[in-house]
Amino acid sequence: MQKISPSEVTFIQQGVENNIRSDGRNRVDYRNFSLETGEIIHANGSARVKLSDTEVLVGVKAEITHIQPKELTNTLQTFDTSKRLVFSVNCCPSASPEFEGKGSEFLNIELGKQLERLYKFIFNKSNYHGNDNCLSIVSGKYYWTLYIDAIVLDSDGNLFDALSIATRAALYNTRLPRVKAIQGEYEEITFEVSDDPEDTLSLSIENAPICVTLTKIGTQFVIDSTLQEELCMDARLTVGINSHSNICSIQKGGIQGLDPATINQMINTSKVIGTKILNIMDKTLKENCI
Amino acid sequence: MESNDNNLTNINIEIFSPQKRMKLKHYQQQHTQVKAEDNDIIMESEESELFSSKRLVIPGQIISREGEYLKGHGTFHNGSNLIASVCGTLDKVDRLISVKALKSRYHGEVGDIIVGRITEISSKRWKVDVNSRLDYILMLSAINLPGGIQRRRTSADELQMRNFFVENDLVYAEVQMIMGDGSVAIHTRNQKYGKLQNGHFMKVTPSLIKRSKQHFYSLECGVDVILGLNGYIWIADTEQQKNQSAFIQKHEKENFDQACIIPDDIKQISKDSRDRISRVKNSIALLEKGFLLIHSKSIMQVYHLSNKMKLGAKDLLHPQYIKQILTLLSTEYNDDIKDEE
Repeated sequence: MQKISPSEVTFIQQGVENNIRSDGRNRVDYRNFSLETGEIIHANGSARVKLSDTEVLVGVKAEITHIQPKELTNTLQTFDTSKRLVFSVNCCPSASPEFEGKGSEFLNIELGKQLERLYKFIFNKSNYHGNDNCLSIVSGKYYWTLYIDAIVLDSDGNLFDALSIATRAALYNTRLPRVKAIQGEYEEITFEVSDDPEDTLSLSIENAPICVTLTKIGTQFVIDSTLQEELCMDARLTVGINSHSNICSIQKGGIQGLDPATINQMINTSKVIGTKILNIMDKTLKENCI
Repeated sequence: MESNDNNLTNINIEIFSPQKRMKLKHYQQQHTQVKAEDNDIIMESEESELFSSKRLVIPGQIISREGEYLKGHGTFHNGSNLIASVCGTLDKVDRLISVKALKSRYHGEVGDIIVGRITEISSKRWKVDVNSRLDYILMLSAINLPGGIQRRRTSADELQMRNFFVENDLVYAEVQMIMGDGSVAIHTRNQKYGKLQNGHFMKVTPSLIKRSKQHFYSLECGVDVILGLNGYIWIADTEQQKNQSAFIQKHEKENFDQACIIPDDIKQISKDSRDRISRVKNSIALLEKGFLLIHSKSIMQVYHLSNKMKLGAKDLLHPQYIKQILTLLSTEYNDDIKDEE
C-alpha cells in the first residue's frame, strides 16, 4: 500500500489551497482518459477505461430470468431493478499488493454497492420513457438480468468515477439478442433466438448516470483525485449525475464531516463537471462506436 | 462560485473502438522458424559483437542451443534451446548467460544513492522500503546525530528514535553494505543525506535511472530533484529547501535533543515554484512513458520543449503532446549522439 508522510500531506494540502496540484492541474481539472468498448467478444457488452494509471474493465453478460409467481406482486409494483442489474467488482492484486487475498473484500463490496445504488432506478418502467421496459421479454414473467462484472486492473485514484464511466460505456455497447417468446399448448413458453448477429437490441443509456467524486483536502475540494491525494483526504462526496443533470445518488465517505454550504458547492460543481463529461462521452461514443 | 469559473473545457476523452485498433502483425509459423534459425546463426558468427553491445531480448526468443551456455536468471531450456523468459538485456559471465529484466525491482549495490520510505521501527534500526524485494535496514548507528556530533549511541537515543525518523518518512540515503544473508544496510552519515520534507514524491521504473556521480540536482529552473537509483524520485523547491535546511541546522545547534518542528512560514512554496515543480514532475512522468533515461539533461530537455511549445504543466500528460514531445526528443537524442561521435 502506498504510504504518505505528514510533510507530503502538507505539501499537497498547500497545493490544493493554491489551486495547483502536484501534477499541474487545478482543482476542477479532470485527467485525460481513454475509453475502449467491445473489448471482450464473449460478453454482451464491455468497456475499458484508462484514467491515468487507473484501469478498469467492465463486462456485461445477459441472462434470461423467470419471475416466480409469488414474487410477482412485489416485483411488478416496485420494479426491483436491483435484481435486474447485478453488479460485482473485483480489485486485482495487480493493482495494489493490499488487494491480495481477502484484502480487497471490503472495497469490492463498497464499489459494487455504490454502482448498484447508482443504477437503482434505471431501466425502471416509469423512468423508461414511453415504451415498456426493454429488459422484459414477457411482461411480468421473463426478463433479462444483466450481470455487470468489473475488474480493477490498476489503481491511481478515483476508482468510483472510472467504474461508473466504464459501466455506462459497457451498457452502451451491450447488444441483447432479439428473443421471441412462443406460447405452447400448455401455457409453457419457449424462446426463439434470432440467428442474425446483426438483429439485436441495444439499451438506451440516456438515463444512465456517471458519478463524480469530490475529495475534500484541507478547506478546499478537488475532483478526480490521484492516489496520493486520496491518502490525505478528509472527506469525499460521490455524486451520481445523468445527462439531464439530475442527481441520481449521493454518497459521503471519509472520516471527517462536511458542512452544508460545502455540500451545496460540491453538488453544483459535480453537476457542471458530470454533464460536461457525459456530453463529450456521448458525442465520442456515437461517433466512434457503431 | 470560484471553482465554477475555472475553465472546464479541458476534459479530454480518447475513444478507441476495436475497429480502430491496429491489428498486431503475426508472423506466420514458417516465418518464425526461419527467423529463429537466423538468430542462431547470428549467435555463432557474431558472438563477440552480440555481447559487446548489450542486446535486448524478448520473452521466448532463442538465445542459443543447449550445451553451449549455462542457463542463468531469466532464461530456461526448452527442447534443445536456451530461451529468454523476460524482456531485458543479455548478460554473459564466462559461459553463464542471464537476462537482466528491464522492469524489475531494485537490486542494491554498495554506494548506490537511494530514496526510501520508513516502514517500521524496531530495536536500534529502521526498516526502509526502497522498492526492493525486502526492506533495507537503517541502523541507529548509521545516521548522523543532530548537530553532527560524534559520539556513541546511548540507550536514550534508542528511546527517542521517533525524533529522527517516524513511519512513512522519506529518507535520502546511501547503500552501506550487503550482508551475507541478503539483507542490505543503508546509512545517512553525511550532511546531505537525511529526512526529506515538503516536496513531491514519485516512483518510476528503477532501470530508467542511470548510475552517475551525482543524483541530487538543483535544476536551473529552481527545482531540486533527487533521482534515487531505486526509482524513487523526490522533487522540491530549491529556495524553500534552502530555508528549511538553514532552519533545521539552527535548531539543531540550539537544542539538539528535541524533535524539530518546521514552522508554517518556511513550508510555504509560491505558486510559480509549484508550477515549476509540477512541470518537472510531469516531464519525468513523460520520460517514463516513453521509457527514456531520466537524468538532469533529459528532464530539462522536456522542460524547455514544453515551455517552447507554450504548454501548461498539466498539458504534458495529454496523450497527443506526449507523442509529439517523444518524437521530437527521439530525433534530438539521435542528433546528440551524432554530435558526440
